[in-house]
Amino acid sequence: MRTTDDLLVVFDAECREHLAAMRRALDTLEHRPADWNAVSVVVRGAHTIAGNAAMMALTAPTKLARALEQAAIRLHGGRQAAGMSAMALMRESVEALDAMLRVCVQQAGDGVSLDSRVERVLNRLEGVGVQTAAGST
Amino acid sequence: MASTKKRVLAVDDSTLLQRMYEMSFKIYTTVPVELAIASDGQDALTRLAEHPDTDLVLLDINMPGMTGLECLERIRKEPALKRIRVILVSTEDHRSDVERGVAAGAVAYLIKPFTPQQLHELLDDMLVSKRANGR
Repeated sequence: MRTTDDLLVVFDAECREHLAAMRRALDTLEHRPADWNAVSVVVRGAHTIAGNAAMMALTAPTKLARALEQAAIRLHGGRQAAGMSAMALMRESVEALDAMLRVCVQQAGDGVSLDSRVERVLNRLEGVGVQTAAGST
Repeated sequence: MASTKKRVLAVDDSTLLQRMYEMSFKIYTTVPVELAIASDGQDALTRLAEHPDTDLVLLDINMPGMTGLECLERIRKEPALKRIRVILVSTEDHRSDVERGVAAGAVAYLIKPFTPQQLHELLDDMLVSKRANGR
C-alpha cells in the first residue's frame, strides 16, 4: 500500500466535492446575495480544504483557502451581502484554488507557489467584508 | 505489567483526517488501541453512549452541525462520560476556541497541521504516562 498515494486520492476527492459545493453556493449568491446558508457553504468548503491542504503540507493552497475562508467568515459574521466585486473575487479564488490543487495532486506534493496573480487575489481577499467608513467592500 | 487495550474515538468531518487517524493509529505501538471514528458531534455522542468506557476523544472543533465545543460541553455534563479525556483539535486560526475548550474541560489540544509523531507523543502522554493515571 502506498500511503501517500492513498491519501492523495482521498484528499483530491474531498477537495473536488467542496469546490463543487462552493461553486453552487456562489451561483446561489449571485441571485440571492444575502443567502447566509450559501455563505456558510463557502466557509465550510474553504475551511476543510485549508485544513486538509495544511495536513498534506501544501503551503500555497492552504494560504489561499484560509484567506477565502476568512473573507467568507467576515461576510457571514457582519451579515454583509457580497457585492459584485466580492463575488467575482471569490469565484476567482475558487478557480485558482482548483488549479493549484490539481497541480499538487498531479505532482504528488507541494509543487506550486503563489504566482503574482494569486498574490493579488490574496491581497484583495483581505479587503472582502471589511467595514469601512464608506461602507463594506 | 500487562497493558489493557485503550479505546479512542476520533471525531472529524474530514474524510482525509479520518483516514490519517486510521493510518497513524495503525503504526502506534506503545499500547494496543481500539480506534473508532465519528464524523460529527452527534455521531460522537451516540458512539460514546454505546461505549462509555472510551479512554480518550480527539475532537475537532470546527464541524458542521454540533461544534466540537458544544460536543465537549455535552460530554462534560453527562455523568457516565465525565471521566473521558478530551483533546481538542483545530487550526491556528481558531486558537481562541481551543482556549475556551480547555477552560471547558479539555485536557489538551492539537493544532493542525500535526504529524503522526506529534499525535503519538500526545497519545503516550494521555494513555500511558503517570499523568494518564492521575485522574
